[in-house]
Amino acid sequence: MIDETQNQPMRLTFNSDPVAVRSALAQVKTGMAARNLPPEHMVTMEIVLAEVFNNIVEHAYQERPDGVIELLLQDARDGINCDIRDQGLPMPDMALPMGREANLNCAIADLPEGGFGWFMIRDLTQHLTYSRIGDCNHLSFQMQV
Amino acid sequence: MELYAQHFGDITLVSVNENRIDAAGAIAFKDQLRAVSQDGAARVIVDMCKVDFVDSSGLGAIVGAMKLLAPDRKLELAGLTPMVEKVFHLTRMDTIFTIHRTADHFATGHQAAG
Repeated sequence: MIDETQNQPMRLTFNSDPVAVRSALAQVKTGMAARNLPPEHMVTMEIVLAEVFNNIVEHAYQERPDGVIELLLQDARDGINCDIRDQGLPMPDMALPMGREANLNCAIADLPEGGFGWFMIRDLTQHLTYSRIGDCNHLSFQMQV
Repeated sequence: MELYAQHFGDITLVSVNENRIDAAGAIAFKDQLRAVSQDGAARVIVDMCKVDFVDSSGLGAIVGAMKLLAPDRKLELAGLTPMVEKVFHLTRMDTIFTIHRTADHFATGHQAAG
């Protein structure tokens, strides 16, 4: 028997350029609207997905706009599972960046202008895992909703 | 990336007429901000009330702009929307910037240059 109240998984495929990323994020928001998530959780989702996609564009595809990024969002018992695939370069050392909190206790001239992305991804997600299968990077995580 | 600057004495009030400061526009934001604040006002107040999304690239551009103005000039922010506030708070950048709830009082009582 089909449970008609269960939300369908959401799949998106888009190119590795910043404009396509913006469009994908907008489509996620539209697609998630039916779930009536608290605004706070939609904000979290957009932050995390933006950072993940930007990393793929910049590092996996080295700013080439012709790479493909695939997103799968599925409801889980206590959150939303996200799976993101790309066919770009593997993560350095085949491992997730640590994403340590930046040290801001310094002169203005020494303040960091980057490195915030992985810190925010780690801070806002659970069960973050990375694997490489063949030519594909797989990143998965869960966000609480 | 549309920024609009008004000059009041020792303040330059820069209004950001964009919804997002993100990877697609971060570099343009930093370049534009530098261009419109070339007048040399000691304080540059950036009114962010129309911006509802800033990612780490955008945050980096804002920090970069602050660093460019330092040490003689100060970059301050105003009108952060909830999502932007969240990003600043998560990264603790809200401890680094002077953040005004609104930019309204900076323009009040000033007349446009004739």
